[in-house]
Amino acid sequence: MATDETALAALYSPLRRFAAVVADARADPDDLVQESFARVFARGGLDGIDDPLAYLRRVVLNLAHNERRRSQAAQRALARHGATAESEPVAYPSDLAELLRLDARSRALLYLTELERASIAEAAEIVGCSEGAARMQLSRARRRLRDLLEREDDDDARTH
Amino acid sequence: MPALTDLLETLASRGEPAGADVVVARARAMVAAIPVTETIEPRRRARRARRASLVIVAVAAVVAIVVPVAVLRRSAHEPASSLQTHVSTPGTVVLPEVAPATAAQLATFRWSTVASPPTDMEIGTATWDGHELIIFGPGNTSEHRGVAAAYDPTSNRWRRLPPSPLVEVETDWISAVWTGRQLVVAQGDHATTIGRVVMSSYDPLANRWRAYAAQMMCAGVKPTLTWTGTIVVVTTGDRLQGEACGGAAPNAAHGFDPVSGRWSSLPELPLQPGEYLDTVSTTRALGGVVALMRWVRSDTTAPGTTTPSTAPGSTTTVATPSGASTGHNLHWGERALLLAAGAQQWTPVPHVVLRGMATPFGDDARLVVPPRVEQCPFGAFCGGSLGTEVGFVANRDGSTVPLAATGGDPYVAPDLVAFTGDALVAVVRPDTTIPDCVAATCSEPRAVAWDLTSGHFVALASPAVGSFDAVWTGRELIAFAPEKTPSGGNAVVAVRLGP
Repeated sequence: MATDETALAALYSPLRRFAAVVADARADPDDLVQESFARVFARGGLDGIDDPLAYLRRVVLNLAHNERRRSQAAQRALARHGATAESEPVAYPSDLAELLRLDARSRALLYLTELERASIAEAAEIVGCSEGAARMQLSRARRRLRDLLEREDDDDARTH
Repeated sequence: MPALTDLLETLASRGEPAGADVVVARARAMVAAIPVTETIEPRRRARRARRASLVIVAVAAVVAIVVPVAVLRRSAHEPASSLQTHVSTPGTVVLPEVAPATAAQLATFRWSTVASPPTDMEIGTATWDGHELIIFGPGNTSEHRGVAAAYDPTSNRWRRLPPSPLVEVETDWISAVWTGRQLVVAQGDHATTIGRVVMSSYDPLANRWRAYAAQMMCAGVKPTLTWTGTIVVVTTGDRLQGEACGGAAPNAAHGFDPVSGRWSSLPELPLQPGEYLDTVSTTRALGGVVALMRWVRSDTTAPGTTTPSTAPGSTTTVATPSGASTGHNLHWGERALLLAAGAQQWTPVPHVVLRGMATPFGDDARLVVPPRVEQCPFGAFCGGSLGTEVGFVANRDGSTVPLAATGGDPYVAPDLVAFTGDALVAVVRPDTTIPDCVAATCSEPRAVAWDLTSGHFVALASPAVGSFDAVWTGRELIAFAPEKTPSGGNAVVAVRLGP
């Protein structure tokens, strides 16, 4: 068991970076990492997992997705009752805010291919989709991001 | 405009990390703090186990009676499976006559838009049946599942086809092939973890679909289909790392007869001890069926160790670390294999050493392997792209012609490739790993066509959009690209490269 803890501690750093990318703006990346580690302990450790980092990334991505869905449902429920969420939205620089507008899977694909230099096939396997779907999603994400950033540049130019 | 990598780096570094030890300890405490479920769980488990054992006994009884009867009845009617009967001789394939086009002819063509497909479609496959281009959407979202349409280039009109009977299958692992009479569609089923490929076919004359029984296969990745004239050869990659899938060997190849709906076993793709099949792609070429396959082996060889492969046609491999904690490293390599008409086994394509995977094309005289970046299949583990463009034509007389590189970085990764009989067309796009690839100039695709005799390429007119699937109809190339609708939804645009 101590071996599992050592192995998980070694994976903390890359997993935390990944969690920071895929997590919702309000979510603490450490919470996702902690939850994913807890899942590993609950299943009895890392035995039988060929690639622990890939496994944990998949868990983190699923958790981020669930969290976002839960958060949206809560916001909708509050809106139905005419209330608003108590917490203020987290303020990020506008460029980052645009990036955070993409869904978690798209951010994961961008991160894996751009920063970690994973092939599209490798990134697709980590996020759990086919290579074709990943390629299409990456293209859409880049295009959407470009459009958002260009629009922002235009707005800035008009302001100045 | 900021570079995408900078934005991602900022995002990845956000917040104050709590530290590995703290997070591991909290996770351990989380699990330890669930006493209620732990005390209830044994009783639940016992009840579940009792129920499961009853179900297993009942199912076993049914299987024990039904299966032997079915096998006996089937074997009484089925002729012995032989490759001779499956891979037809050249000339017997009933396929539409598609006129070839040379690279020089293609260079005079221009891109134009054509009528867009129905708005609720995404493109999973596009197949030319001699009259219409039939497209089938991927089924990973419920609104797109089973949606199909056909495009008539003469009238520039689309017609919606009846929905596929396999609408419940959730997948984007989808492939199709035209047999001369029907479109055969294979879907790797996402919902099953053991691997299942389900087949259906569409008959344009009757405007009707037919569903078939599923086949257990290692459907870890997209299935590939090749029509031989009598059967569809079905292979899939195996992302389950060598485990048997539903009783099927991971490297199994199957024959599917769309007329009778029956499956048969073909010779297994050859693997050396310790290897498993990663991905495979097939085409009809060189008088039989050619498979390009990537194998992977995991062992404890030190990273960086070079190992000459013992298998003919395989490349020398280098061990790369596969994970921090397992201590196992990965070797990989590719092979080009031919299943000739009448042959009982796959044999290496002579004079070909494959480096990297691609979707091949071919005819009876040659095998065409499109240029692509030679890549490490494990991306981050071995540095991603190895940076070499490699593509070639292997002729039946044993000669090979390398396809010229299109200029190196950043134009390296073909978005689409299409075979026009005498030329190979590709729309290439920039290497997206370069830092400022969100800039507009970095996203512009360009088109080239290789002459398959000389291996040289000519530049074609640049398409207005990047494309993901393209089909040569004998008169024009029709390609598809995803687009955003003004309301933010997904749509597909169709473009044409023609005279």
